[in-house]
Amino acid sequence: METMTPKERIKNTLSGKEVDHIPFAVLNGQSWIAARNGLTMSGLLDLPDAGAQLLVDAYRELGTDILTSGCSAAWPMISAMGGSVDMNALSAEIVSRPLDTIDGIAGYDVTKVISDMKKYHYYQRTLDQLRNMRSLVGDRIMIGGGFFGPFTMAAQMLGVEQFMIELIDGEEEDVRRIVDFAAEIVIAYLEDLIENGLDLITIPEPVASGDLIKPDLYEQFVLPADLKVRERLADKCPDVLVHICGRTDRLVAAVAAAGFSVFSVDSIDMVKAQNDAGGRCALFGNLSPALVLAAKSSDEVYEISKALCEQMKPFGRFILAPGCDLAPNIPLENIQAMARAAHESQTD
Amino acid sequence: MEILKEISGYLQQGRAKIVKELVQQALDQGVPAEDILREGLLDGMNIVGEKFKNNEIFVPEVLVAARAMNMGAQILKPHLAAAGVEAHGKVCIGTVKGDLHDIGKNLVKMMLEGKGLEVVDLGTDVSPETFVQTAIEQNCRVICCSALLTTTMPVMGDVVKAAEAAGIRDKVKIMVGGAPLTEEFCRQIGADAYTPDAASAADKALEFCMEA
Repeated sequence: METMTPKERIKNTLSGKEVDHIPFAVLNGQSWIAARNGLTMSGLLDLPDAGAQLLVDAYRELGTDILTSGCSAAWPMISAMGGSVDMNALSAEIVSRPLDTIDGIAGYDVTKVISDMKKYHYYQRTLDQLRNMRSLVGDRIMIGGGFFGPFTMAAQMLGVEQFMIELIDGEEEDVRRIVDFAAEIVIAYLEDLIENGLDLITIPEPVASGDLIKPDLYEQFVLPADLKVRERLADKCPDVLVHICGRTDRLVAAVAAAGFSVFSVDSIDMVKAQNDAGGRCALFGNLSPALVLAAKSSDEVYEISKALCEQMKPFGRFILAPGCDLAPNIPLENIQAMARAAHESQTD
Repeated sequence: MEILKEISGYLQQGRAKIVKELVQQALDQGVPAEDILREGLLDGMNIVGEKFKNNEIFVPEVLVAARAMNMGAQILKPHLAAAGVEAHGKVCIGTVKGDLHDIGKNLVKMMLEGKGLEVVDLGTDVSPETFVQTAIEQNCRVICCSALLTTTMPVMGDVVKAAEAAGIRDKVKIMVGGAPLTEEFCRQIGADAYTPDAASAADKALEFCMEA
């Protein structure tokens, strides 16, 4: 039986207090919802209420304890910096990058980029969406969202491959400069989101994936920038979810020690992750969208989810979720099977 | 030979400029181009591939090593042609239709080149017909298909069907790879091999080419 609001359930989970059952959430999910309704992300934002009602209804149907708004992408920044984006693609694809070389960032004034970004039509529509969602759901459920994190945003300016080369080959100072620049943009966007009703900052850093870079580089460039975002916004929105794709088993201890509220992890060993986290942050995960949610039956997804909940129950501080964003071909009933397993996981 | 070891070592460190200079120096000393290729560049790239497979190094390190190999290979190219040295085989590679992600594909391409294979890079958003047509026209022994998205994975099955329809299925091996893929999916669509990482993909492609 549910005795808590979704917000109470999440808040208690983040602070390690008791909950009525393990909460369930998805990481973003907006492109899944848009695709299911025959819309692109821009089509969703072009609806009269910027897609707010559709999103709230969809998250309700999925049974999630967190809603998501904010586009978790880089389009407004890329446009403000002179790059171009194909808004007709399902998730909006970057067509041309603003930078050819990492030192090109010196030619940009971050204040002007932020000011231009705010004039971008879909930036404002995103704020409209969030505001409308907040007025629909009131204060009983948390709304998460944000751009990519600073490191991933910096990679978007240059292209991931070139950015990777610069990490090894370039000047450390240049890498720091571009990541700091991106951090200012992320902070400015999050400030606007918070003003319009966001109460869970999400920092997805897919380019910091353990499949792409070594843990040293994470601690050298990614963590300080993500911490800067958290520290600058701590008084307005203290709860921060960090997501990193792929192999993150070697990063759990560092993320937990840094004091982020929750770490969203991909398909890694969750018991080891809980031990590494040591109760310092909540874990969010970790069913594989491709190998489990898109490939298995709803009964199998339910059983896997139930087993994970049982495994995580003794640790507390756990939110059942997919390990990454939802792929558009995942069946609704598979996501609902996860929600069912979480709702049935009465805690002692 | 000391200079070949140096080429291999600097390549592993991604020191492109030094590799280029050493390759030229080795040629000037009369070292055969094929030895420079195999005992210098390819040796270095093989070690990089193994370290990548064992999680000792990561994508940035592979990218800079591959760039060093390419710079060295550019110097060697005319000398290899003059000496009649041929690649172990020819492979075409691309990210399948509807998918624009190319880091994984590019990594595999670099590793394939590191094995001494000639690679036809078809880029991203490649249709099944283009894969098959290229394999026919360029006499490729292997087609390598990459996908990052679960939504584009099924296109790999269409590549297999297109190869069957074109009557080349017994002449060409089809390999698949990408984050959401599995061995099971590979079997379902009737492809010949799934490999979980770029270095293993290159090993497998070389094996297929050597079988031919």
